[in-house]
Amino acid sequence: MSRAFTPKVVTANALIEGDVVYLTADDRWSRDHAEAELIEDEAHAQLRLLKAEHQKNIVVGAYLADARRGPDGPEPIHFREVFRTRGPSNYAHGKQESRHV
Amino acid sequence: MYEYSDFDEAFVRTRNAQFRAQVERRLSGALTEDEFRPLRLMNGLYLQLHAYMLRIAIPYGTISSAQMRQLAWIAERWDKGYGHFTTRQNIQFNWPKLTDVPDILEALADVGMHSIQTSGNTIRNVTADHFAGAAVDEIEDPRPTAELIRQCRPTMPNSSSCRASSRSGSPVPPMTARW
Repeated sequence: MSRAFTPKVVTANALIEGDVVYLTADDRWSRDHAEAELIEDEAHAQLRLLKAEHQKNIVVGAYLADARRGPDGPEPIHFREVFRTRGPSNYAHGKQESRHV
Repeated sequence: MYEYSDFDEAFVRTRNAQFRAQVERRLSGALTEDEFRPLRLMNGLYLQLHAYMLRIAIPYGTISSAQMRQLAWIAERWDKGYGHFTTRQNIQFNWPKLTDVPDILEALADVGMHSIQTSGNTIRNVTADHFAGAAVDEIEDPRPTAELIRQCRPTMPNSSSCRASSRSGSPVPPMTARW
């Protein structure tokens, strides 16, 4: 019996800024994890990853990351992905910076 | 402290021009990320978890006021107003944009600084005690020796592939020292 597919989001780093970005359902790259397309079908996930990997002049290192449905949109599961939604853990740098001003 | 010779100046400016062209080729798609990665790393530019990071060499931790002011200006203009000094006495800027890095390298060259080989299997920097030349109980000032090491390291063919440990099949003898 095959294992159940864990939903995914497509994520990468922006080529110019290096920011963490997520592929949305309408083919944009968002800095906000909650705007990511939550992919619940394995074959569709591979297609979306292929699409991301072809955008070599926009993003770097695209991959599929586990996610789950949340009240405000997809939420990361792995702690590494949680870090990537916030920024460095030592001070309020990166994306979390604006929330601490 | 050491000041660039005409040769040093020309060498660093040439490297910067090469890197500017490499960035342009990456942005145009002429270079893939796999092709570009080793080129940016040889110029101290990493792509880390949250952003790019540029590491700048400060040999044996000695820096002039003009250089320090230039670093501050770079941080204000192209980064977030700060940098991180490392345990190897280099400095890192953690939020540069790829498109700004060639200009940052030129601004560094204006004050005799660079990012060449601050990454990878190489001698990242030559460090010395931060009280060198000032401590009362100092036996010998390490800076002249550190400067000699600095002058011979950046462009030595072996310097770009030094290893802290042996790897099977490596054509280069392993180094046990980590500078």
